[in-house]
Amino acid sequence: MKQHDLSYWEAMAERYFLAETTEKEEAQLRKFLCSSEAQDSRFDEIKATMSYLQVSRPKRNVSVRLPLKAIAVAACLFIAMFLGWYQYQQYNISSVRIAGEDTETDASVVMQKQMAEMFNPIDPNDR
Amino acid sequence: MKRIVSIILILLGVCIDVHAQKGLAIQSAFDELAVKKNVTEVVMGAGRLKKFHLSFFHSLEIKNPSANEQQRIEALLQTDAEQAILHKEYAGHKLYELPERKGMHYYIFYRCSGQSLTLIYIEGKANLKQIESQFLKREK
Repeated sequence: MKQHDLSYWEAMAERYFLAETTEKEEAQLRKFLCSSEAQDSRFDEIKATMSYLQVSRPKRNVSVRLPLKAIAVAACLFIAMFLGWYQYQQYNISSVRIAGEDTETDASVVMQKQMAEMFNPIDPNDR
Repeated sequence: MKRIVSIILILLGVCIDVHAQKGLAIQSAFDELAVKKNVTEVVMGAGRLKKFHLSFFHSLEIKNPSANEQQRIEALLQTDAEQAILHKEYAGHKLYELPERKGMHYYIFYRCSGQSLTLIYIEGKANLKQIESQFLKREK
């Protein structure tokens, strides 16, 4: 932070009471008031006002951040659960579909028949 | 917050990556033909294939395939054949072994007898010899 003399901060405090300061200036002023240079009694009033406003201000940021974090964690959990469910489905899948419709046929039997055909010569009657 | 967003993105990435046959041309054949009347589609996951040391089985069997269907599948096979490390062809049968990844083997089998056409995609730890011995033995 740039070094300023006390009269600069006194003038800024006055402008603060007249609501002429910007947010950036107020942040600088707040920082200054926490420093050892602001021990002067000239700054007691501004310190009291600013600390009162700081304490009494509704904690909007906190209340907004918490649900956002909770939503993000919930989304993570949901995706992880979905992924687990999807992997489980893929792991145990066993289906025979004819024309896109599920049937009761045992997939293992069809699979073994098809694989056996792959390693055997084609039956001339099948041509 | 950034960390949480990164975790979500990673999880979504994994979701997308778990699709089998990803990146293969024959995926189009499975997508397009599985709903046709003369087609039987078989899908099996690792849980049902443990004894064969396989982790995924996907097949299409087309009864009395049309010339168009046969040509379409053979064209797609040709595309995947370009990345095959092993290619065997004999009397109506074709076999392609795709590059191994993390100890997993990937195979495409094709058989066309005129009356039926079968396209199979399998992946698993079993090598070709093991697969052959398992299925030949079971038919005896």
